[in-house]
Amino acid sequence: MSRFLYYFIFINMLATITTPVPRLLLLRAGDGALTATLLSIVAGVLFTYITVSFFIQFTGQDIIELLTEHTSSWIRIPVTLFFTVMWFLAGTITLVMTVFLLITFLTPLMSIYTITLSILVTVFFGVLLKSKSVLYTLEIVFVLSIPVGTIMFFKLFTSNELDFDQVRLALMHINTLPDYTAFTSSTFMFIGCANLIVFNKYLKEKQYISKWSLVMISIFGVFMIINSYLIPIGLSGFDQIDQFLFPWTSAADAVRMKFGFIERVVFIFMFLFVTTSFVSIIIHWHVAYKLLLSVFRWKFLQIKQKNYTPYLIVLIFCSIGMWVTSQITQNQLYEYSKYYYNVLPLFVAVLFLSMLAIKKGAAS
Amino acid sequence: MTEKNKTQELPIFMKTITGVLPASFDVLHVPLAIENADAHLLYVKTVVDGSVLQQTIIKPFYEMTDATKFAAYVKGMPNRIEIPATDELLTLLVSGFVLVYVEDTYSLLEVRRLGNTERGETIAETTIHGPQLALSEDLETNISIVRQNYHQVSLYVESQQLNDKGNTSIAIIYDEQAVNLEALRKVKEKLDFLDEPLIQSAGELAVRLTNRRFTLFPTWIVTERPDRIVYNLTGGKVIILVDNSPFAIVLPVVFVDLMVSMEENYHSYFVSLYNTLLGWFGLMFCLVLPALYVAVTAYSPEVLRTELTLSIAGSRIGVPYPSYIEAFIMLIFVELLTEASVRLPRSINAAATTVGGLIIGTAATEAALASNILIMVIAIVAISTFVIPINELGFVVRVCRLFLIIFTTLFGLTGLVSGMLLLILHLTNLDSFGEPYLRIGWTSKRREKKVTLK
Repeated sequence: MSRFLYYFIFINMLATITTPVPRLLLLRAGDGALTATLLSIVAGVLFTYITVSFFIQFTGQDIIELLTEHTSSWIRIPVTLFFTVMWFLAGTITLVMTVFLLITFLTPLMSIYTITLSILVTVFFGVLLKSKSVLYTLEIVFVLSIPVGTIMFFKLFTSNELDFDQVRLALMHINTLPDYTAFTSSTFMFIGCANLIVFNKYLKEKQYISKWSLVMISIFGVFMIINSYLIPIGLSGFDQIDQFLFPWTSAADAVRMKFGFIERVVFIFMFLFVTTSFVSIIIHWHVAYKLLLSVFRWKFLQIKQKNYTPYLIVLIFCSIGMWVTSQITQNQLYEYSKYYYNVLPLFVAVLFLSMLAIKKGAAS
Repeated sequence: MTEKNKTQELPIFMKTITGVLPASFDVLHVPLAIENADAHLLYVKTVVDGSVLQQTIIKPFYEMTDATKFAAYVKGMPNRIEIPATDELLTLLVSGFVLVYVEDTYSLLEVRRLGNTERGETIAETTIHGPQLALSEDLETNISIVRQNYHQVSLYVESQQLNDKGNTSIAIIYDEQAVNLEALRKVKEKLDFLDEPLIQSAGELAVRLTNRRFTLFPTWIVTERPDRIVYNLTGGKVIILVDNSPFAIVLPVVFVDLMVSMEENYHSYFVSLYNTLLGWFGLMFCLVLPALYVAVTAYSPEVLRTELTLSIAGSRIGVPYPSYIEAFIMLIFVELLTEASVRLPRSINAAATTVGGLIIGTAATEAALASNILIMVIAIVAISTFVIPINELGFVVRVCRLFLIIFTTLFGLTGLVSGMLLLILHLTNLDSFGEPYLRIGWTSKRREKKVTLK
C-alpha cells in the first residue's frame, strides 16, 4: 500500500478525538459499546481491504472517471452528490466539534465566529490546493505529529490517575450485545481509506495490499479505540463518564507533566488534535469539492480563461460551516451526528454497489 | 582616428561595419602593412586585451611578412569563429572580438579582455572547513572553477546570451547523466522567453525565471560557493552562471535545499546531524517565538505552567499597551538594526549594533515600554535567524514571522496553529520548475548523490 493510504487511515483515526465519536461510545459504555468497537475493527479492516483492492485494479483513476466511463449518468450524478454530502458532513462535524473544543478549553472568551474564521481561512486555501499538495501536507502534518502522539500515549498510559479497576469494570461488559450507533460511529474511525475515491488518481505507482498492512491498521485501530474509549473511563471513572460533554478532553486534563514547560498535558494534545482536525477537514472537504466540481461547472463563472466555480463551491462550504457552527448547540451536535453515523452503512452499501457497477461496466 | 583611416583603401564590408559602429574614441580600425602583405583589424579597444592582440596577431604578422602565411595562421587560431550575421557581428565586436581582414577573407577572433578574475573570499555563506574562496566575477573563470571541481565527461556547459540591453552572457551547466530533464527543459524555455530590459546579476535573473509575479519563497538558490555548486550538480540540478556576477543560480530548488549548510558535509555524522537539527530549530524558533509570546500573554496564559505564566506577567508590569504592540515595536526595531548593520560600512557597524541593541534594549525595559522577557524573545529570534544557512530564506522568514504575529493577534493560539498550517499549505502548493517545493523525500543524502554517479 502506498504510504499516503496509511496517512489517510491513521489521520482519520487520530481525528476521531475531535469528532463526537468518543462521547457517543462512552454514552453506551454500559450497554454494548465494547462489543460494538470490537466488531467495528473487523468491519473496518474488511472495508479497507475491499476498497483498497478495488482501487488497486484502477491505478491512477478516481471514482468520477470510473463512473463516467463505465456507468450511465443517471447513476453517476446521484451517487456523486450523495458522496459529496457525506464527505461535506464529515468535514463539518469535525469543524463544529473542533470549534466547541477550542471555545471550551482554549479560548473561552473569544467569539465563536472568530474561532471558526481562524479555522476556515486556512481550510479555504487548503481545500483549493492541488490534490497532490494536499497529500504532501497530510504527510508533513502526520510526520510532525508522530513525536507529540508518542508523548501523548506514553503520558496517558503511564499516568498515576489511570485507574485500572475502572477499565476492568468497563471490560466486564463484554457480554452485552453490540449497540448500533456505537458500532457505526466507531466504524467511522476505520473508513479513512474511502478518501481513495478521489485521491486514487494521484497514487500512480502499482500497489498491492499485504497482510501486514491490515495487521498494522488493526493494531493502530485497537490502540485508538483503547485511547478514545478505555482511557477516559480509566481516568474519569466508569459510572460518571456519560455526564461529560467532552469526555476525552476532560479525562486527558487529569494528566499532568510535572517538569515540563506546559503543565497540563491536555494543551499539547490540543495542538495535536487541532492540527489533525484541520487536515481532516481539508481532506474531507477537498474530496467533497472535487466530487461536486465533477457535476457542476458553471459557465457564467468563466472570467478570462479562469473558471471561478471552485472558489464559489468552497466559499459555499465555508459559509455553511460557519452558519452551522453558530447555530448548533452541543447537544444538537451529538444528536445530529448520531444520525450521520447511523447512515454510514447505507454509504458503504452505495459505495460497494457503485464499485460493483463499475466492475461490471469495465468487464463488459 | 577612424576619419584618418578611411583615406586608406578599406574593404567594402569593413567599411559598412565601421559606418554602423558609433564613432567613439575606442573603436579602432588598424591597417597593418609590410612589404607585399597587408591586413586590416577592426575592434573596440576597451574590451579587447591589448597585449594578447599584440602577441598573437600583430607580432606574428610582422614576423611572417607574407599575407598567405598570415591568413593560414589566422585560420588556424583556436579563438576564431565564422562571421555571423551583421547584427550579431556588431554585438560580438562590442563584447571583445576582433574583425580581421586578410587575403580577401574575414575572420572573427575572440581577444576579450577578461573581467575581474580574482576570486574573493566567501562572504555570504561562510564555513569553517569548506573551501574559503568564492566564485570570481568573470564567466569563463567561473566555468573553469566548476570544471576543475567536477571532472566528469558528462558535464555540459551551454553558453548563451540574454536578449536584454546588456547582452549578458550566461552559461547553463549540468551533468548530462544526472540532470532532471524536465526541469532543464523548463529552464531553457523560460530563458528563451525572458522579456526583461536589463539583467545585471544572478539574483535578478533568478527572480525573473519564476512564473508567479508575487513570490515570497525563493525557488532557487543564489550561491557563491563552488562546493555547493558541485554538490548540486551531482544531485542533478541545473546551474546558471551569469557574467560579471560572483554568484551562481541553482535550479530547481526545494525547501529542504535551503536548509542545507555546506558545513554539514564536512563533519562527523552526529555533529552534522546536530548542526542540521540546530538549523531547523532556529527556523522554528524565529518563526514561532514572537507569535507564541503574543498568544500566551494576550490569549491563553493558562497553557504554560503557573510559575512561568507568573514570571511573564510579572515582567510585563507597567507595560502600557497590549503585548502585540509591544512585540511589533521591538521586532521592527530589531529588523531595522539588522538592515542597518548590513548597509553600514564595517567600521561603524559594531558601534551601531552596540548602541541599538544594548542601550535601547536596556532603556526600553527600564522605561517599561517592553518586558524583559520580550527583549529576550526578540534577541533569541534575531540570533536564530542567522542560523538559517541560506540568507534568502532568512529574509523570507522575517516576513513570515510578521504574518504569523498578525494571525496570532487576530485569532490567538489557534491562529498560530492555523497560520503555521497555512504556511505549510503554501509551501506544498509551490513548485520549482516542476519539482514539488515541500515534501518529505524519504531518500538519504548518500542515495541522492549515488543516483547520479551511474
